[in-house]
Amino acid sequence: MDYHQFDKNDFLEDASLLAYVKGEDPVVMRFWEDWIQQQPPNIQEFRKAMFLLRHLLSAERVSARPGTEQEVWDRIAQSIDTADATPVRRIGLRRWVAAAAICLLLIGAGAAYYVYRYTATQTVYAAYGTKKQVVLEDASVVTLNGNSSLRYARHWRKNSVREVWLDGEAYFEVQHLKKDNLPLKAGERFLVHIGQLDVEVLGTTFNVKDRRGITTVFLKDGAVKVGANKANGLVMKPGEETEYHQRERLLIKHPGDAEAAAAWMDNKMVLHNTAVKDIIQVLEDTYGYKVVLTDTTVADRKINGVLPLKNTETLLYILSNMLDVEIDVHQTDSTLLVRPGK
Amino acid sequence: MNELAAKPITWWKSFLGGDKDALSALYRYYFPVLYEYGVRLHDQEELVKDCIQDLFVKLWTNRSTIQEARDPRLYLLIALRGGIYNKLRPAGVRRVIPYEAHHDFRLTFSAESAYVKKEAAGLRSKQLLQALEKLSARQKEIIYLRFYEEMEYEDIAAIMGITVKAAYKLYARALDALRGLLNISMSALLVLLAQHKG
Repeated sequence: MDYHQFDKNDFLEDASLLAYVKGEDPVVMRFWEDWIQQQPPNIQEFRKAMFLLRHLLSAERVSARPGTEQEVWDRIAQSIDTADATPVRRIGLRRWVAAAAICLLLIGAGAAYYVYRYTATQTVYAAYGTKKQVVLEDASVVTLNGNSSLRYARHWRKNSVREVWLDGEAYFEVQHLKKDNLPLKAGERFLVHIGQLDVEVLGTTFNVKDRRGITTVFLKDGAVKVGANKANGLVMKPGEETEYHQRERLLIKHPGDAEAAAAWMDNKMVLHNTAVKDIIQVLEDTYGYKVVLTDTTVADRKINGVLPLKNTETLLYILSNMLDVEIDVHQTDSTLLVRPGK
Repeated sequence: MNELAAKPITWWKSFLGGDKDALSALYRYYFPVLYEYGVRLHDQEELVKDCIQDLFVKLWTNRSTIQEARDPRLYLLIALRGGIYNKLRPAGVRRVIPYEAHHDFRLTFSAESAYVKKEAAGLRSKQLLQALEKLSARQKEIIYLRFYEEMEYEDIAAIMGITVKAAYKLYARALDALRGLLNISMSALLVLLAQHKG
């Protein structure tokens, strides 16, 4: 291995160098000390890697108090002995047992098919910067934003709750199955699971989004009930928006902005006093860019207007004008470098 | 395969065949690793201990359906992580919550460490440690698995339930967050050294 060709990142990936920093193996120690003595041309890269490795390894190791290991093992041994002591009745293999086994097998196969038909799920993923439309079995339409996925059962039983699981952001147009004034039946219910929230739908158009620990539901038409558990749900009216902050377990409702919430459907982002950091989040979460600010104060600036998201060049042109910054694009790793304008 | 790895694999085989002593050997061999990883994921020691207990009891009762493991440590870490997150799931919720929801990872980088004391750059060290402290839980977890447990990206991805590509990306992003600081620190260090010589 030619360590003279290595840069910092190569060194960081090298198991032998890690062993040297940890000082576990005298042979490895000798090797690297000799190597340093040769004054290799890339010694700077080596030192950078060493500097970083020593800090990466600086956390104190955690170990259990003495006796803990034995205590837990005693509990394990006890559970195991109890489990093993439970008698298992022996069944002789007679002819009728074989016949019964075949019957069971057939029933099992039927059950397996049934379980497969109604529990097998399908997952649709829209990649960064793309959108995907999914038409569900009940003709409800779900439009997925970039970097979002939807999981749902291949088939819904006639009288069971329609349930889908969403990761990311999507716009729902749900088929209204309730045609009477009787209490809601299971088959009429439609549930969206997103983050830690359950959104109970009562025939409606709405947008849901789960990014960076915050789940947002915007309701356009109809009614939905939003809750983190079954006990307490918030009923939303059209035009309202609910935000759930996962870390704080906080559910807040406030008037929403219809134009802004569903603007992504038209490849736009509507800005009403929107902080630049929120724009950056969308560029990163939905379009897969990585945004680097040389001047971080830009992140807190607030701007108004409409950003077209469909075409990268147009987007960057408008954004750089709005913010009076220069934006460089590194195509290889989709990085946008934002520098103060001249 | 080295000798060190061969032993646990042998124990694994024997325990699948019903050898309780082999299970005990596996437990004693891996307890420190599992305990440390567990309390870094979740700071309630009792819950972690319960999860380790459940894990080994289940290994034993389900041994007829468990397969031979290429790497018992990997198998056990994946199972423990899943066990801890299952326990933390609110009662009545059957579906799996994306682990980010209550994900935490305790890894406190310290200036007191012997590793850091070897570096003579006080202020820069402090800045780097501060930057490391700000890394996300996931980034800390990948650093822990990579540099402390010395695992391959494939295995890290399997443990964290992400693709190998995502694991590389997560790691690269953690480094990117530190890169700027590191370059400054190196040039500052050179200035310091130059002054020393002069």
